Amino acid sequence: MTIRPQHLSKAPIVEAIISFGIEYLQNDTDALIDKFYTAIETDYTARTPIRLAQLTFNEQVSTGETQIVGARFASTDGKRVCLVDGSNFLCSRLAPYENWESLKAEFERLWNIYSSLGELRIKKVGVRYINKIFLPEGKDMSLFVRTRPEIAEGLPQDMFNLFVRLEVKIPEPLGVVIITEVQRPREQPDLVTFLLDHDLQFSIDPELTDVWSLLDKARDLKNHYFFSSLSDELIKDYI
Amino acid sequence: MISPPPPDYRLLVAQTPPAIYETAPDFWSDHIEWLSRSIGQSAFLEREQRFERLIQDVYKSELYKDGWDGYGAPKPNAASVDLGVRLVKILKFTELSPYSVLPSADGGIGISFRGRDGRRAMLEVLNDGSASYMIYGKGHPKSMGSFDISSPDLTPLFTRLLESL
Repeated sequence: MTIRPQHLSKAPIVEAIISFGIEYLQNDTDALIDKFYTAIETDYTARTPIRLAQLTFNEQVSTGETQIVGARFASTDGKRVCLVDGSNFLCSRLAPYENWESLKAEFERLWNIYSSLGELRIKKVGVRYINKIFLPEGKDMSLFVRTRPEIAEGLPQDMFNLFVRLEVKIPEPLGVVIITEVQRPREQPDLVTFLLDHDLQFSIDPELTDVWSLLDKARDLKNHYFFSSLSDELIKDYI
Repeated sequence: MISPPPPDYRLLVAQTPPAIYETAPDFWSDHIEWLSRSIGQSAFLEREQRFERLIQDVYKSELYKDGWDGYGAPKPNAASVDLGVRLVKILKFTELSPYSVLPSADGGIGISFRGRDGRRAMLEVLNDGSASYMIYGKGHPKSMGSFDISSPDLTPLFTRLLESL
């Protein structure tokens, strides 16, 4: 990496997410979610339920049932989303990405509202960035993406689809980064659409951890990981 | 080297014996569960998945038979299916979120939208290649008209739908 982490004017971020893994110290989460919606409804006009489907298959019969486990709230333009369920509180900013400060400020504002409505404990802190990048078709992927599958010599080399998921330990602060890379249907001629998803997660002790400074550290790490993941040649397209 | 998929690759992949399933029975269920959770937490991926399903629904419409509605409705033909897929792909890059895709009683593909307080809209691409829109809903003004799906800029139509829903 020779290009240092910096603000990219054409950032390929399609979604940036800050999340808390939470534990409820009281039971009535549905009522809490309803109260929360009332408090944010002027900014987040659309509410959709999150459903959990459970399917059971065996040789004789298949059965299924769904239950509502949370809610997703979206701003009128759909660019800001807040999701709450039985174990997560998260805020998304969809493209066009603005900056970390505004995302964090909005997350903090909404969290302050939500956490004032009930007794909650933060168990996990997460920062996730999904980037959509375009790779030149027919070129060696290693010229552009530094974490990638490598096909052994002697095998055909023309890869036309890929899905990569890696779970990697972060030593300091202790956590994990889940790296997901997915090829998507073509959107532009002669370019392959590719998603690079970095999901950083940190388990915390709520008594000992300053979650807001941990979020800032996570942000620095995600910047470092992004700039380390792509070649300078590719990153130049987004400056 | 990274390349776009050949046209029939999904068929080839589907015909591949699931060797990993036989050696690791939990592989698929574990990964489906993780994928479902990972997609569900991302508004972007959830939208991508929803549009994938809508495109599949357009393709499935071609399986309907003539008279499918009991009133002699023609089945969608290959031309309207192609146009329907094209329209869904265009919609993906707008702020609109279709509710469903169904065959049209006039022969073709209908893409429906639901908005606040019973507001509704429908885009239709018909077997003869024509396209139309309708905005309606109980207690709301109704409007309709045609549009050209080949137009380089459908923004005015999409803005109108967004404002009406």
